[in-house]
Amino acid sequence: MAIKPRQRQRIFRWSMYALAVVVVVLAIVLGDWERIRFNFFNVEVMTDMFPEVLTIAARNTILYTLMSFAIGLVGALALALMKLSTIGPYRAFAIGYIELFRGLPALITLILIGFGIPIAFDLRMPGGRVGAGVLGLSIVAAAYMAETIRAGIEAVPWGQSEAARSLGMSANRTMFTIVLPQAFRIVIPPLTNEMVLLIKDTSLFFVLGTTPLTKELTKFARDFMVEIRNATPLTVAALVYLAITLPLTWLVRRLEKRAAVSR
Amino acid sequence: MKKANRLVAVLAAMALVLAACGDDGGDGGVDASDLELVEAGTLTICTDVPFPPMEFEDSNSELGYDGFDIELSVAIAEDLGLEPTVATPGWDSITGGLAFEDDQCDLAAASITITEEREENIDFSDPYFNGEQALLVKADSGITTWEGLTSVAAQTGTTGEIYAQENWEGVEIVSFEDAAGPYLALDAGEVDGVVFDLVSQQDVADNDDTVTVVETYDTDEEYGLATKDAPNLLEAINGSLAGLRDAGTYDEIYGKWFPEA
Repeated sequence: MAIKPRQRQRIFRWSMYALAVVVVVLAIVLGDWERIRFNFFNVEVMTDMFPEVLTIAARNTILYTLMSFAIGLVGALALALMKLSTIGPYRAFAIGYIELFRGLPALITLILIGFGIPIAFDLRMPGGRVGAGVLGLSIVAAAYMAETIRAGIEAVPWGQSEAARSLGMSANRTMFTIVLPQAFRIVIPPLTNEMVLLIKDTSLFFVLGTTPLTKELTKFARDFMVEIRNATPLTVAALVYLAITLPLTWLVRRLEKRAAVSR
Repeated sequence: MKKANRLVAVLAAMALVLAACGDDGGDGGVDASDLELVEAGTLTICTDVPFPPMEFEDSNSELGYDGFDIELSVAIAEDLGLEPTVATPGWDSITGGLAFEDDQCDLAAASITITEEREENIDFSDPYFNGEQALLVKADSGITTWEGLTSVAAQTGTTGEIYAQENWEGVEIVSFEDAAGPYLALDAGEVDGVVFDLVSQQDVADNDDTVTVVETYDTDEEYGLATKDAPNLLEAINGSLAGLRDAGTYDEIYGKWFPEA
């Protein structure tokens, strides 16, 4: 008996639903819920983590992210303009920088900045370990965001520049007052994505060493976990991360939608 | 944290119960067939590297690893008439007992300090080594005691870190996930010293003239070999350990790795 394409589609879809139900049911039946609750959702452990998980760990994560993002953004703008520059050495520097720091794991960059530079030049990083971490992460963020901003600048219609120049504006004035404001509108959603990535990259700060007051979320949760031999701190940290990132990603979706409408 | 103390108390109580349960195992007489090994005729030694000079990778060595712990456990294997082999399943799975449950190890020799907390997960042999903590500083820093420190680096969760937290008031303790971080931070001038196990610190100082060990601290710490749910094997190991001490083999190995002691 021949099955019509429509029927086949329906059978396929329902078998997928059935599979999903089976997986969920199996998870519920096979999971040892008492152990899961004790190890991952232990209320006693959770209450022990407050308020430090918010007042120290989450605060540090947000602080490190914002500082790295701000410094990285300035660097990225400079790099994007250098990459679009008519001056050869500027372009070469920007390309070299972007390729280098996009190609290196952030962890290695952090170690090089935090330990390599102080050892090589016998100097202390301003702001100590946190300063070194923020600088390292800014350097990485700048490399990623530079490409985004460059794409944004190139996405602004050429006619805008031509019109500005024909009105007698200088090249610099055209760039800063006409092109960049429009470019930034375009790149806000991808830059927000970059910020979400940065939030998670702050978890790499641990390689530079931590004191009780400089721990960010991941390190805080890991130490807590080791101390009490229970995985609940990781669950709490995960929830706090989501509490920070979900509003941001929601914002990105809204911004993208608005950009789509205005075009 | 108060919670942690309560947990330690509970674990200590459980360890006592476990110890009481374990006492009736085995009735003397070492027979290799009773040992319930991962692989018959072979003693699978688990360790965690690098921790020179106790254990480290060495491609020139027959087993691929060398060090005090390795040589001692190889001597035990030979004493029991077993073929030694070395595995590295990871520190946490050794001290947590998982590596034993997964049949990856017969014996762990990884400079594991005997603690009540760990005794809940693994069974320790008689102590075979006295672990001391030490303070290492830059040779030209002029620091001679911990009181001269403003900051010190340690590895997270190690005895050294705990010792510093409990005894060195006013010293900022910077914690690192691995054993390399503290020395990098010292080199970078981020901290004034490193607190860690003496055996390891001495090895660092011996290989680097710019740093020196200035103080040692007795923390009543003892290293034990470990097994899990293998009372016959544990008894055989304890017997062998005592035998090696009596025969002078232990001192021989100790003298080889710690010539200045």
